[in-house]
Amino acid sequence: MRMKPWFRPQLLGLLVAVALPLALTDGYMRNIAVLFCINASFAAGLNLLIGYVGQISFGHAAFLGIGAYASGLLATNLGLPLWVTLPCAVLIAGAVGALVALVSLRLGGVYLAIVTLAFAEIMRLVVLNWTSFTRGPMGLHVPKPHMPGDFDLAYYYMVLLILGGTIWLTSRLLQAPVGRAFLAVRDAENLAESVGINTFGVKVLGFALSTGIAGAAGAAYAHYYGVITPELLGVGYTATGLLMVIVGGKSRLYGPLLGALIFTVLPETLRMAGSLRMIVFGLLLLLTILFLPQGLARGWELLVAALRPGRHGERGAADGAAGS
Amino acid sequence: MFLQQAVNGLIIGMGYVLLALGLTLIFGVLDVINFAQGELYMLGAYSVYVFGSVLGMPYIVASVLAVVAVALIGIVIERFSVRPLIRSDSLNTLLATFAVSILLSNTVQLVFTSTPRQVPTPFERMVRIGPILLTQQKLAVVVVGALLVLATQLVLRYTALGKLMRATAQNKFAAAICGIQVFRIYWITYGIGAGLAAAAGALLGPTAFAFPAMGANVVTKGFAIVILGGMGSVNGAVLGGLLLGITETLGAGFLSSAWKDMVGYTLLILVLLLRPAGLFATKGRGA
Repeated sequence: MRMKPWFRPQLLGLLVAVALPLALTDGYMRNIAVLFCINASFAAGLNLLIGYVGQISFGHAAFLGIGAYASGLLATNLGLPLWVTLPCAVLIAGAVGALVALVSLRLGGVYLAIVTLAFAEIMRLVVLNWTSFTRGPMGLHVPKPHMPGDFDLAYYYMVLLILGGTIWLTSRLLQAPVGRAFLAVRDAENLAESVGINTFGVKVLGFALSTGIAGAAGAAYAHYYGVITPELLGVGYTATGLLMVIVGGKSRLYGPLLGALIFTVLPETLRMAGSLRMIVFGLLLLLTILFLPQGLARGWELLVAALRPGRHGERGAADGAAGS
Repeated sequence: MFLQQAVNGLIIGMGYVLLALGLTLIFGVLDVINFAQGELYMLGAYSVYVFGSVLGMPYIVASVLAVVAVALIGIVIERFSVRPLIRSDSLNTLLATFAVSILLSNTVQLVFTSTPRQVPTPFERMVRIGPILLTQQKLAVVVVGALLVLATQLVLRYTALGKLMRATAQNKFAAAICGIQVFRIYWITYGIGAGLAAAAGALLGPTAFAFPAMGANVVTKGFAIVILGGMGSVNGAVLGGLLLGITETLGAGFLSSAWKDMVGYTLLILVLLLRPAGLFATKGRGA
């Protein structure tokens, strides 16, 4: 009985996601659909870290960039196909992520924010200045892969697979002992340690998974757009990721999807000056943290509960009052 | 040549010191990582530009007004984005000040565009001290910066306010039990931190240009310094800031200026690996 109301929206979402590009015959709309899947994968991976392991990364774009450059450089220098370079990008980004976690997790969570930020700056500067290898500010041209049929359509299904895989992995993990350990570390680290959970190992694992997913998103980005620049590793994309997770709603599987939808479609429809757009985004982030710390996903749940006063109304309202 | 480079580094370093001093005070007393510190520095430089170039005030008046104005802005930021979240997860204040930094830098960009602005100063004559040649403004950075560091130290050590701040930093709950109005100390500390950042902007602004992204460029370095010196340590922030400024400038001279910004971050990673409590940590403050 309990599974049912959850099962239906998930199936509906999957159906819509699979059928959507067939309805979108316009190349521009398909372009946005692909970008949405890339953004959503990146955000879902970040949500795994922030929402479920309770650790923050302020340099997640670096791992997106590492994935993009790893895949791009393997393809241009060794001529490897995408189905080889993309898994390599995941492994490289995940391994680097684990290494960063090993160094920075020795101290409290606050250090993690600063070290990841500094690490992202280091990586950006390396990519920017090592011009003989990365072509620096001129950007690296990445070959577009050969896809069966329409390129945009086939690519959409590929990135949808990455996004679906990320969400599936996260939901499976949460039901497994590892996932429970994630939540234990997030909610009560000392307690988790006292019952024998290797909290350090759990955090490193969470970090490696999250950065590996960012690497996949980066590789997908690189081969779709065909050119990548060091700016991909900058604070801008990290901020976008944080916005998608926090405004969309952390600790929920569909929160980052909601966030990615907003922050992919909104910039396309609101064709205003970059700085005005960032002001709107900054304000949105601030208001979310202040008034709806669980994000719009939580707002949606409260709305649904309020609209159904018969069965769930009271419980929903009580949840809202107790939720923090 | 070496000496000249070292002095140039000292000047940059003094800017870092003022920035990091505010960061470390705010972290020590409020337990908040203030992401907006770089933007407060940027606002300091822009305020001098507005008061001096647009409204035609003399530089010294414009600078003092800039520090006061930015301190007030800091107090408003503390009231509306930090205080409501101070009892919740430390992640929230981090993200809130990050949102504020996005808001501030983009508002300035909207109003003043991204064109770099010349911050006016009357102190443009060159001064020769032994083999070293520098402008009066750069001399002012070192002298005024040192005076501000000294003043901060004196306030912390010998005034009632300083005692209250130190007590709050050591233990908020005990401080509150003893009757200290902790929230009052919070906004005062944030205001002081903002004022110090603005002073850095007012002093260093005329030696370069003011542009909206100047804060984002230095805030990571500020964090690096705070970790180098040990989180919450005032002396550590001073030594760390000077060390970073000098090594960066010497690094740029001996290696290449493209890798200059790497010096601080590499130093940061090395310190975290080898001496995670900070280079100048004297007592464990706990993470």
